[in-house]
Amino acid sequence: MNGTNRFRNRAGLLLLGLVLLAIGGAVVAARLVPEWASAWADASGPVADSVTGALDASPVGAAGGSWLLIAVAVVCAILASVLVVLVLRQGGGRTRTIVRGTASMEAESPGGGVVIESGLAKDALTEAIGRHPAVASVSVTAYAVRRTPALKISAQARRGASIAELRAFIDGVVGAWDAAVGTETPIFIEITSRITSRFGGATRTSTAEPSEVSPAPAAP
Amino acid sequence: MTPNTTALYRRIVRRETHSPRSGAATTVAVVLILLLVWIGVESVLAVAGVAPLLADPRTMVAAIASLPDSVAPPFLVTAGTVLAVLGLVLVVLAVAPGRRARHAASAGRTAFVADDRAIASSLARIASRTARVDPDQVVVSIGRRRATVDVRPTSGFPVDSAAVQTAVDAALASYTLSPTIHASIRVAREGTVGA
Repeated sequence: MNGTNRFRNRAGLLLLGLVLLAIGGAVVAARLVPEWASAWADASGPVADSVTGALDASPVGAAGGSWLLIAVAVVCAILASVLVVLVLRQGGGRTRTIVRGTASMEAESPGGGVVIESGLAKDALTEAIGRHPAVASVSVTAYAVRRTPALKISAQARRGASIAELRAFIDGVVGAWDAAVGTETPIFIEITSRITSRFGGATRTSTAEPSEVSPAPAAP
Repeated sequence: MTPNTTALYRRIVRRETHSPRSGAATTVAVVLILLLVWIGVESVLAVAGVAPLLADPRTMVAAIASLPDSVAPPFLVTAGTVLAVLGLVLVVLAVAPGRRARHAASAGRTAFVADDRAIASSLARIASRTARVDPDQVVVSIGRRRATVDVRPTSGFPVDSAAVQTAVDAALASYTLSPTIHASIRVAREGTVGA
């Protein structure tokens, strides 16, 4: 749901993968096919000589210095910066505003706009959903998905919690939130389960509907 | 729900059920950054006439050119193979769908995705209740389209496999998952003693 550019990630992996495949394959092939080996041996000398020649022909600074090397350093710096940006762009895409006053809202109350920040949704929804006994923890984050503000509700379920019932409960909370806010912000619900909840010991449950069960203190 | 929201939900669910490949991309980028910085620094040092960190650019070029002569063929072949395999792994990472162990449920007012572990836990509770055994005696494993429910009965108390199947099927139907999961129930022949 975040703003990671997945196509770019995959394109980068594909490009580098193909380059490594080509280099590795060429090295192996050069050793296995005798003609290729001799071709490599024949070519490597002249190529190295021409590179060294080019370095010698562009002197600058101290002995052995070459402005070609400065160019190499600049290119390396640019490529490295591009990669740093790529790394820093992973994740992200969060937004602080989930509702901005629309034209119709402003027509109803001229002279004033409405802005709802994600912090309000976060506090209200986390509080309401966290009350359910089957929810171990819950977090609410707002993202701009294709510029549309959307909320992500991530709830960690306790062991044995019914996901259908959890969803119905959260949908109910969302309904109340919609009614309070007056618009329907797109909402994505994610139910996870942590490994440690397996080791929490058997929970004593009654046969009553979970909504009737009050969060009783743990049995001694 | 507007068509816009439907498209938005489809996009969100797709992204949440597939890996972003952030880990692989970040790892590869960091390695490349280190390599680029090293080459850049060596180039600058060579221009400044300062001693190189490991090898100055001219030495690098000469070393690469003399690879066929300076390195024993078996090592060269091994190194080439390692590089090619690494490349293949990256290509597979780039092309493979990278599905995460999650299932989406049909979207209504909200879009919904559940972890396979949460689904398994949910089914295990239903199966254990129906079979009247302790939750620890039920193990559920979930694949993309199949769930296996292993029930270990309590010794002396037979488990109604058909009832468990019905209950689990009903639960799965109520989850409206996609792709749809079909459950198979396996009741162990040997029971637990003293459960």
